[in-house]
Amino acid sequence: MPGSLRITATTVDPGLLALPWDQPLELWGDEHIAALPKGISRHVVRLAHLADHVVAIKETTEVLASREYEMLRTLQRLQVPCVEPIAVVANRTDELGEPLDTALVTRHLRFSMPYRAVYSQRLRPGTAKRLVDALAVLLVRLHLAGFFWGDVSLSNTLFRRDAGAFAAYLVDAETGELFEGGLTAGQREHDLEIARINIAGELLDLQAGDRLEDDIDPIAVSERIVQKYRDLWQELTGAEQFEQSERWRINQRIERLNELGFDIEEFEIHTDETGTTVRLKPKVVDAGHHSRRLLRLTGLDAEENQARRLLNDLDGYRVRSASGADEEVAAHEWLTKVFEPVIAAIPRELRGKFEAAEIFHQLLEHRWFRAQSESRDVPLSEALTSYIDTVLRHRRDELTLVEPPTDAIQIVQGLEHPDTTSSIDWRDLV
Amino acid sequence: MASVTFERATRIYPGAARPAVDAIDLHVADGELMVLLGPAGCGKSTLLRMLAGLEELDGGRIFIGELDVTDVAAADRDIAMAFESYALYPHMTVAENMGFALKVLGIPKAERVARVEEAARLLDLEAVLSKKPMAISGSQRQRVAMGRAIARRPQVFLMDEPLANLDDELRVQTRGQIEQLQRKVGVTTVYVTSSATEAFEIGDRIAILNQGVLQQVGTPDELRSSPANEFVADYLGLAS
Repeated sequence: MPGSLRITATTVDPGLLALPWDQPLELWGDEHIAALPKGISRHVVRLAHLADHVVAIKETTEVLASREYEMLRTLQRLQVPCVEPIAVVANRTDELGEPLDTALVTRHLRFSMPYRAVYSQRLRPGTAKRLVDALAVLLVRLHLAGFFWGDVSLSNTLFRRDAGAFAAYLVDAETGELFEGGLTAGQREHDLEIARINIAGELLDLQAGDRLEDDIDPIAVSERIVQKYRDLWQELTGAEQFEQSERWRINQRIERLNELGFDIEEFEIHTDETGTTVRLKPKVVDAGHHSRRLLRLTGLDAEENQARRLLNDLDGYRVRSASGADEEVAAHEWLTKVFEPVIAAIPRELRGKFEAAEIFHQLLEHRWFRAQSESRDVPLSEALTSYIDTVLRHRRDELTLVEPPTDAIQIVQGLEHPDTTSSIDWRDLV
Repeated sequence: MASVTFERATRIYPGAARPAVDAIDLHVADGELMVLLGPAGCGKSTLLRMLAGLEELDGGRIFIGELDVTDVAAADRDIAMAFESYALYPHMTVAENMGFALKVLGIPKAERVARVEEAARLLDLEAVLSKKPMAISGSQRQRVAMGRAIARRPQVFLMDEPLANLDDELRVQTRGQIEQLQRKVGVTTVYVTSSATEAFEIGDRIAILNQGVLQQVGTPDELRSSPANEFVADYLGLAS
């Protein structure tokens, strides 16, 4: 290994030095590579083993790698859901001293999946909509932070299960830019238009590959992000005006935002000169209303909808339990007497299927469905046994999901490929 | 296709000591490739974003052709940010990759076919329209990405440092394609770069900015022979 590597890293991991930086990423052997990447990428991107975790490595120019590394660090500080940058490895050369591209290393997000891996055979309408909804929430959060993405797409996003929905994480910040003064309406609309076109392209591509259920209209699904985004943006940032006598509407707005998973850090309230009307506008909103409450009460770190689900169960436990009113005492009891025993009862070999919070949510769903079909209360312990045997055991591991293999292509390579295309009339497809 | 005119276009960021773009007057002729050149923070990208509708103006106006677009939404300005994304979709044919955005925009099929055909002719991709991206060469794939922008038939192409992401070999190749494309298609193009060499090689004319102020506009020869001030001479490496 040449001795002139220049590594900028957030963590001191000796394993980083052991990776074969003197070889182009494309040539790294199986002993280092977790799998080929998925999604559609402009660069060579591969998943590699680093100590006890998996990292994504992208080859690009030094300027772009350093810029993206700093951008991801900034987004993390702003608490925007994104992958964690680990290092930039620059000044790489091969055995002959020829320069190699700089590498950006990010930590693979546990239990996250690219959109092409959330379905087993073909993408179903409900799943497609949930992916788009999650992307809309992510885009709103990025825009609230003043981040113009510039390449919004399902491919540039990773998805984690979130109690029947998905939570979206940004994985590619290469084209993004942070504007301290916030984004203009034009910038937000431009990102939204890019999202619409890219989502349509991605779904049309799945359709062309027979990976989309027949009753999905890719263009209609792509248009969904526009409405979802606008509705949420309006709810989070829009001003409303009401009479002084309707002050209850302040609480109503707070509850509505809480229900959407947001807390209001700061309001802007103006009254008119006569004091009869009030104008209310959220100034600073913060995502993670339920996640924060769950974390505070139990120390559990969960996605927003999972947290909502767990809190519902916790609140139900509190009502039923003898400990009565004290929320923190009840939370501690629920954690030690309900949640932890359930997770501890999951056989070790099945724990990589889903995150603990997702398993608990699915168990509650399973119990509810059984109770409905059998018209009786199903004890949690009974539901747990049947959930493990009839559901969990048959699901794939999603801890570090690396299948199916990639469809990625890099157009920045000059390799010729054999003609494998059948004789179709392109006009029929446009 | 159309000309572009900035009339005392101004952008002032809240709290900033000076305008990011200060009362710029600039006319880009129909079919011209105008390079906006200058150091980081000179206002060139802001000016491009103002034309794209991504930044509001604090003063002045912008025209595309005869139309005052100062208050027109970005999506309605009929411009294309070229090379925004190089992503090609592996299961779609070259023709589908070039034409799918037209479908999303609601353009009728016959029109889509005509536009894809025209873009393919301009880019010499007619023979591979039915092929998938994996079955064509790297240079052809790049042209497909361009074809996607061309098929939209924008009035103006905007290019914000399009070569910045590329390695040396690809930079030379892409620069040549942009030049060739611009000559063939003749779409008015506004091109941002901080590289004087790149500007000289690609621009019909070059507008040099510094601290939000337009310093000089001219052809590469005019700038070389008579730089308007010390900054221009220094930036172009002409100072003795």
